[in-house]
Amino acid sequence: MEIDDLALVLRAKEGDQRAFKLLVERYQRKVYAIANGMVKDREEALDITQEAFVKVHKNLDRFKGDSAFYTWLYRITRNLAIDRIRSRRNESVGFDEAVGSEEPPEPGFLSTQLGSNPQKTALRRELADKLNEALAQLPVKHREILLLREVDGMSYEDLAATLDIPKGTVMSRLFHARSKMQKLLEGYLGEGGDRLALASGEEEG
Amino acid sequence: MKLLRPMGLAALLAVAIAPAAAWAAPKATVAVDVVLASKEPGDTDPRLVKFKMQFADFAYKSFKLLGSRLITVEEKESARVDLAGDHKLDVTFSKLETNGRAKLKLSVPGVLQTNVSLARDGSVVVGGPALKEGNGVLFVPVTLVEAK
Amino acid sequence: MMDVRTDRDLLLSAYADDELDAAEQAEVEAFLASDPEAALRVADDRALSALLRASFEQNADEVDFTGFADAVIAKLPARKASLASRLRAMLGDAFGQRPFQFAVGAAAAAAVAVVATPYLRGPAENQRILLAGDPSAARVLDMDALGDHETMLFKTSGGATIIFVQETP
Repeated sequence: MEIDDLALVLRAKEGDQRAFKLLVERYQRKVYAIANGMVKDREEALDITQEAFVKVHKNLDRFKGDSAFYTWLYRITRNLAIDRIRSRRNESVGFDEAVGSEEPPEPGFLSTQLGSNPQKTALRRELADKLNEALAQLPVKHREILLLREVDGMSYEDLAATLDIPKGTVMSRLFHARSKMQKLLEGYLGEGGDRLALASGEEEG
Repeated sequence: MKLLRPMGLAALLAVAIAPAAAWAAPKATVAVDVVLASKEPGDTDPRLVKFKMQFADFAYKSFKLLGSRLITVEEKESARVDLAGDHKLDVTFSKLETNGRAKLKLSVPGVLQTNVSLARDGSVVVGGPALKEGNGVLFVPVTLVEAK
Repeated sequence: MMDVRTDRDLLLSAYADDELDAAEQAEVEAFLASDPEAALRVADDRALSALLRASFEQNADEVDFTGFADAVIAKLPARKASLASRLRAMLGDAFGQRPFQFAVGAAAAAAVAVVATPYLRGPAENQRILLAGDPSAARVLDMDALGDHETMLFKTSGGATIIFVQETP
């Protein structure tokens, strides 16, 4: 039976390094995925991931168990990532809600690209790159909510708790984040480009 | 004419003829034992068999009596006892209380200071300081033998 | 003030996420039937979710996390365990399970009834044996840890009162 997070945290507080190591192993990929999604640089993302765990360890005494351990870990990761973004001269953090005054994307564009089986997708390098580029264009708030939803599979309720926003804001933010992503992808993949830049299990691209 | 109260007069007389020692400062006789407790299995000094019983709950398996000192301290005075390693214990006889108990200040310099009140045969154990060499921990029972 | 269309967009998005309750779901399915564009939007949202998930997975897959956790541990300063846990480590698992009475603290003023150890005066000091005796015969009035030390006062089930002192790590 797996030891739950809180039990591991309590043992780590007592100085049990093995318990803390288990926590790291449990969440390292997720934290990295969040960090990488935010900063879009593998080395920096790894740095942030390591820093996040070290910071968590340093502040273990502050964790009271009234929220999920991962929520706390996520927030630390996110803040570290934002600090990194801020320290880059060229990129603005873009906290503004880019509320859709823009044209909505063409309906059906993405789904026709993917064909009938969106579950079985292995991404080609180009599409993966395009996705990363599009993500980079989003304001941090939108990037963040998409990451939490798709990396961590968080429900709207968990998203509301983690981000400390009402559920209505979760819905609205996700909607706008997706609209923007879809619009950007439409622009990248375009008319003349490689439409079916995807391979299902059967097709060889 | 009223008589002087017999008790009062008697008390005065008693004081007048009391031996000089009654006016000397009170003294406390204190026993300080130094016990080395170890988690390694081994023999326990037979003198410590009952001491060992006190520690039945713990992980210590063997006890060695490193030393015993009997010290006499005047009220308001201190005496120093070498324990083991670099550790020392200063015993100050702070006060002889009216009920015959002795108030003692026990001090391990740089480590601990405590005030205790002991009746005759009462003791506290100061424990914890580890020896730099070997892996044993010191326990120091401090017992009031007599105070008057 | 949200207009109907915007409300509907949010509902569609939430529908794609399977986050609607039964009533809302029914409502959405009703207008999906009559609005092909709406159905495409739902399909797009689901496609995007799948793409993002795959992309994030792939990004994480590209990293070899072997040894990562060890590298994190190596960066950690030694964590100070609580005095209670260090005592547990030192004194054995029994500590904490037996009916100890204790007060922790550098300056705990604990008037704990202490078991006395009568001093048997025999022909030689060597005869002296430490015994359990009258609990009221000793009282700890106060204690102060000095320097980098912590103290803990406790009474064992065997009757001894111990002022336990430890170096803070």
